[in-house]
Amino acid sequence: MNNLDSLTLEDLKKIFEQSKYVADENILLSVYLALKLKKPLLIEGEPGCGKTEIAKVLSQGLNTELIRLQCYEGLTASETIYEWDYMRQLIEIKIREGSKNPEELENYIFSEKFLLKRPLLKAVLYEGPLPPVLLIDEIDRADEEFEGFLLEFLAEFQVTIPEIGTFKAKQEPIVVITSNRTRELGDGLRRRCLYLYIGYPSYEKELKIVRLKVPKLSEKVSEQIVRVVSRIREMDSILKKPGISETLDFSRAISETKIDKLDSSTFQKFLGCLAKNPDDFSTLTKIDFSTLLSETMK
Amino acid sequence: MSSEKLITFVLGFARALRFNGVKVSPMDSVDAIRSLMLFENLNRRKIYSILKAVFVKRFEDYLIFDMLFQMLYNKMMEQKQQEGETDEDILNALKTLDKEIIAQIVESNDSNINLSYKVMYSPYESKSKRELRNREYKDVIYARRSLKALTKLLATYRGLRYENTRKGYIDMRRTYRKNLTYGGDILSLMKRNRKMNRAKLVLVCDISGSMDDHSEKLFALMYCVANKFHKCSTFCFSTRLIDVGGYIRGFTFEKAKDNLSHKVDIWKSGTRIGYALNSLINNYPGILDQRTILIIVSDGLDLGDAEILRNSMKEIRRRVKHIVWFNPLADERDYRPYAIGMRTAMEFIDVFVPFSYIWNENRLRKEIIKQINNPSNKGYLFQMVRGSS
Repeated sequence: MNNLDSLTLEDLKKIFEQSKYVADENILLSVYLALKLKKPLLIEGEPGCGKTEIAKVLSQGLNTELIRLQCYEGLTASETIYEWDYMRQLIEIKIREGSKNPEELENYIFSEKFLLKRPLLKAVLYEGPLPPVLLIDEIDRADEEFEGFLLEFLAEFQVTIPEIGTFKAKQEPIVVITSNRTRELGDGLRRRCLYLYIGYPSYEKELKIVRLKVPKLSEKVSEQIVRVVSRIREMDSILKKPGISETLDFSRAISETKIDKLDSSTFQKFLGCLAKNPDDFSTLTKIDFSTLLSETMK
Repeated sequence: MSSEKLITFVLGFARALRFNGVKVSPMDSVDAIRSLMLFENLNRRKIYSILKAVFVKRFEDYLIFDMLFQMLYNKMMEQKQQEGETDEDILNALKTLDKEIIAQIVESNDSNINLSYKVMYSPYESKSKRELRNREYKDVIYARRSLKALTKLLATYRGLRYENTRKGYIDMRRTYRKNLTYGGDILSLMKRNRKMNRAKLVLVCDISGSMDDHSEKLFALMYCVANKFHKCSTFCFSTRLIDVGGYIRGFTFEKAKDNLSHKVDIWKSGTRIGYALNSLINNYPGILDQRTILIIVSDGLDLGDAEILRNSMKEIRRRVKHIVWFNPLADERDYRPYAIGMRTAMEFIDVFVPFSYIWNENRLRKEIIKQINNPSNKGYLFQMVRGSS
């Protein structure tokens, strides 16, 4: 594909299918509209439900680069745009000590050669047939100040480096922003994005995902796993409810150990794939999985 | 469907969403129309998905969107069948929409709404309103002083801005300037550190029957938090939790009182603290983080499941920085926290103070310092609880 303008909804569907990502109509339409309207896509949802995966699928399917910015507390603008390589600059100054033309030296040490490009600058400078996919992952972990800075960046897609000049993106990157909702995001950012919420999948969708991603697993075992996991999600006492990735981990564990029949002991053995919290672990150890299995298969 | 009719519908729908508190900008309407134009064969399902992707910006708004879409789309299709009626009827119908009508629609069409969460149902609940009569605006002023002190004392999160300090990182610029007077020889080091950010407040007030005597004061406190603090959320609960920020923020004292009196219908009901806190965790996960101070005002006389209260408090404890509990019963000299709700919650609380301290900055300040600085002796009430349990 050479141009995003010629992309149709059917093409996008094929891209997701090729990457084995089960996308419902909501996901497809939101991604399609984000690409067509050239707006960032803000994806919120439960952990492990495939938010980050969408960006990966897009970069793979469109055959373009995935530039990832992982957010964390205390992340500053300079860490996301560029930094000067001070060590190399100092060495260069030492080497050229006694240079007769200090101006030339200054221009040289503040050239692109000594610039450490961070994700946002990389996305601006990217040159390719199609724009890169810029994944801003877990933005809720970053500080509100950074969110404010991001607003400006998303509006202009340009970066100014005082020593060199201003760089403007030749083609606006495809921006995918994910959030786990651990912090409320500002209205400004929300307004600039298209919004998509990915919750826990329905039984049919999850079964389809398991069948697609773990094909070695028998149909009956897949069904049992999906039913039990959805029952676990319904339990109020579980703090960290298992997402799709936990279901897949569990399914893969069963598939790798070539177990063809599920019983209580199997669940207890691989509980680490489903429970990610000591409290949940102890709650699940007390559950009689054989009863749960028979209940779910009725 | 003609494109003209569809555009009228989109614009009307955007207005209806705006009218019901969903933030939809004019640019969103333009985007929605542009998006619809990208497709040739539009059907109800597609229009729904497209408008949802463009108009809804937060998970909490899905509910209102679904209800309004269902209602307005059906109305538009009905009108299309009846010749002679104009689009103005749709717009006129929108003006009469009210949140209360929507709530009724939710109850009648609950099974048709495809959402991953449902409004919590309580068998104990009886809908009741309360006429608030508080005229003491000075309560708000006192509460503001005390809560300012509280947020300053309990703030521990450092922001991105710097301030000059005695300990911390070396500030090269200031060090150089300071030592210019010594000819450039560095004799004294100047230091700086990240400035402490003010904490975020989340207020959860119990407005059940047992707290009825304190309703007027609770209103003043809610008004204060919602209007005098930049980063805050205000909730009240009895058998379920309601976000009352929208009813109070930006309104005058009198108007806010009216809103709370007429729009909140859980006054004087039963108390289910555990369920309320559980729904705070599940429905508003974004507001509980490491900068948050959760303030709970309740007498702890809980009618709900103690296990749910314990689990909820445990999860909240993990998420927020501090939990402060104001209890009106603790104003009594011989108060002992024997109630099971209070006993369960006590082990997760950082500061436990009588409710009247909110109106007295100095006493509150002293009590907080006493309880926070000496974790082994968290105030006389903590000792009592340990003795009683």
